[in-house]
Amino acid sequence: MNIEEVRNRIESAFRAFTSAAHPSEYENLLSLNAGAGKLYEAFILTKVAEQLVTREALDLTLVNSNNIALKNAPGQINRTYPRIDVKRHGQTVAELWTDVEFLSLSYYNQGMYTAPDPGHYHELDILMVQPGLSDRPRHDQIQLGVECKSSGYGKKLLKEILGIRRELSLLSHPTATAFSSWPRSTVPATPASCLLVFSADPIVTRYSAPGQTFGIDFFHEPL
Amino acid sequence: MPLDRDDYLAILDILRSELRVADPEAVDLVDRASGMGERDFSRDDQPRAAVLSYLEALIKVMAERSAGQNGRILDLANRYIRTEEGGPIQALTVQLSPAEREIHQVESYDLARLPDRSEFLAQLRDLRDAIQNEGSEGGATGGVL
Repeated sequence: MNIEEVRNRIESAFRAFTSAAHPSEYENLLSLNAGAGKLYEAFILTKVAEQLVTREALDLTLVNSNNIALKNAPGQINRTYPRIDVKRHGQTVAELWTDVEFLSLSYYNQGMYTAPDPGHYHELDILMVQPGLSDRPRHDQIQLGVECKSSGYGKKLLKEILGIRRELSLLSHPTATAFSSWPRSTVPATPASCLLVFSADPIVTRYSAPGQTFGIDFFHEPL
Repeated sequence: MPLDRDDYLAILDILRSELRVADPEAVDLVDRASGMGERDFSRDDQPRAAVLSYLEALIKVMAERSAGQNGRILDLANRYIRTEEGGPIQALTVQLSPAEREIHQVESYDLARLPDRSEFLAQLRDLRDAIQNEGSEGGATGGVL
């Protein structure tokens, strides 16, 4: 084998990559990476579900659909959309939503007198909130927030999640969460929301140290 | 003529250039998964090993981004989440916003219909095997390759 043969084989492989296009009806809807990101988000949703069922003894029921439905763009809670009811002993104690924006702590502290500007709300990929909410949940109605990153992790994403933590809670002494053990029974934050980052990139663990202070848990979770 | 040190460095360059065009967001991920992100591969003293580890990482990352993972995730979902009627969860979908629905005339798309990268992955695996065999045949590759 010589270098020209190898070059031809690599180029042939990448031609196969680009020719495996989306089904035509989706071509204008979805970039390759958006699809990969959503697949990873669905995967992490199932990993979170696994922990809630096996570690917290919660029951999860998909409502309004037989399909797990993620969203192409973030938005408010729409109660006609699919969600997952979280039950303990038959009683709904929370709901899981995907791609929902929450109203920030700073907006709450400013009195929420005006309609929220774009700076007043932020998206999380998975949110576990108090049951029965509509529109954007407030920061103090969130029990668990999850960010899913299927591509490379880095400093910019760390700064982003530190900002999210700041807009969810104030740094405080350890405060009891809604959970007995997973992801945490206490968190150094008030309101006591848990905040998790899952990444396919092994380097994510090298950015995890600030989370020990602020109550953010980082996981390397390859698909 | 068998591949030499410069050839392996060129192969790394070709692979990374092609990936940068085909899927730019995967470049950093594959670099890190292969250990390439922390090495100066232009000075790498084991370029054949670097090519093999890069190919392994590329195959792994792209397999994860292929529609083939959809069934596995659906199985996991059905293990821990039930439906209201008690039947299985049938699909993983992405819902479009009202504005997107109007433009595209569809409400959602099914993640099972992501591109199938099987042909790409098969060709990469063949290339990896050929390079592995190249090294095991001895000859000019030597210890530092």
